[in-house]
Amino acid sequence: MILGDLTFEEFWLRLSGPGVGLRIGPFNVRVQDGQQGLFAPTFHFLYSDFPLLSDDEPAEFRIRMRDPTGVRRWWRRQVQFRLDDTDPFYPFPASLAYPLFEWGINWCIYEHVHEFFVIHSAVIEKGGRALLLSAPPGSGKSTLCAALIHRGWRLLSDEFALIDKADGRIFPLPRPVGLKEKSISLIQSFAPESRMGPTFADTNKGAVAHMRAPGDAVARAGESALPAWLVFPTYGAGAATALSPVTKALAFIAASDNSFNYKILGETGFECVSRLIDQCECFDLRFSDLNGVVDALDGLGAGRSSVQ
Amino acid sequence: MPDNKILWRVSPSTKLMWRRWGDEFIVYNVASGQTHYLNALAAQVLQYFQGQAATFDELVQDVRDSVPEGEDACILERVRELLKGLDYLGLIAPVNP
Repeated sequence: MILGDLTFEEFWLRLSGPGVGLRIGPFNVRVQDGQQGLFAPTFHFLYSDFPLLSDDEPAEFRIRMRDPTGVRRWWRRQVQFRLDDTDPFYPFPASLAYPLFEWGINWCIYEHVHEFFVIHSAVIEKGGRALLLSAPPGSGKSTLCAALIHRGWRLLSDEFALIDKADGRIFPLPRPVGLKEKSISLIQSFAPESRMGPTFADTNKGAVAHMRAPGDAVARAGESALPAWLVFPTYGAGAATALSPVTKALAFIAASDNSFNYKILGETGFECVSRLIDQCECFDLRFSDLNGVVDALDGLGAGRSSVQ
Repeated sequence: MPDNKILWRVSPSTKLMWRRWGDEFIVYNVASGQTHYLNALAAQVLQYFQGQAATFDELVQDVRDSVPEGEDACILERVRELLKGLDYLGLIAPVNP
């Protein structure tokens, strides 16, 4: 059973009662409350394809989107992201409950998930081979990811590469793809068939919207993939598309810098990056034009060389 | 400038993990958790000090022996800088007398 099998009324009753439990990639997540702003309808729309947990199924992450108890709530409605018994963030305006939820889930993963080696990276797959777009925020990796999954690539994740420490395979964590500012309209025109949630203006990252993960990617969340290409993208206004090989040693440094738990895992982290670098062809990517860069990366997936 | 008679080495308690791709090396210092990118010469020097304690002069001689004639013009200065760098990174240390 998936979330979309519930009517909105049934979903609302669960949300405000025992919580809505979902299987999101390798994690069970249970969410309660969420009566602020557009949280409930946005969550229901964006996670519609995700498998539902039964009420008694345990969850790694138990989240309450609750009204805070501070005095500020009397003159402006707010929302607090609560994980178990902790409030990791200051309250947000209630209107930003949904973006707060997505950022909170990200925080849960990069702070708490060490059973995988975790790299800050979008990951897409074709033919069983995964392409990692690894970069800090603002480099355009989510925009690229959103575009490529409308050109035949499968979404594994737009934010995290979850790498099996034993064999290096990448576990899917398909979730809504977070887009910012101009990327929202860019993707809407690049892929008019994309299904976008509401735009939340005035977040601390500017305007933010989330694109629904393709149903096929969610349904195949149990199918891991072998990493094949490690790409470090940088958006540059007006830049010509340039995919340039980067040496393995420099790719090692970049990948370890982009990891959330390389230092925590110590020797295991070193082994994980070493294996990833051995498994992948590594490239720097400069881009501005979405069509050009999609063609270049498609060339990798199709075995064509478009390297400059 | 390092004293040419000081003995240097990688501490026996320092565990280093190595990866090599062509002429580039990555070394991970397990104790410090630091990762370092080394070129071939730096890797050669560090590996030399992993096997033994040696003075600057002995190190220079070892490096000279491995470098083709005609390519060793600036070797003294390069090795001196490498020694300072590896010391700064905590990868080598003077041996207590």
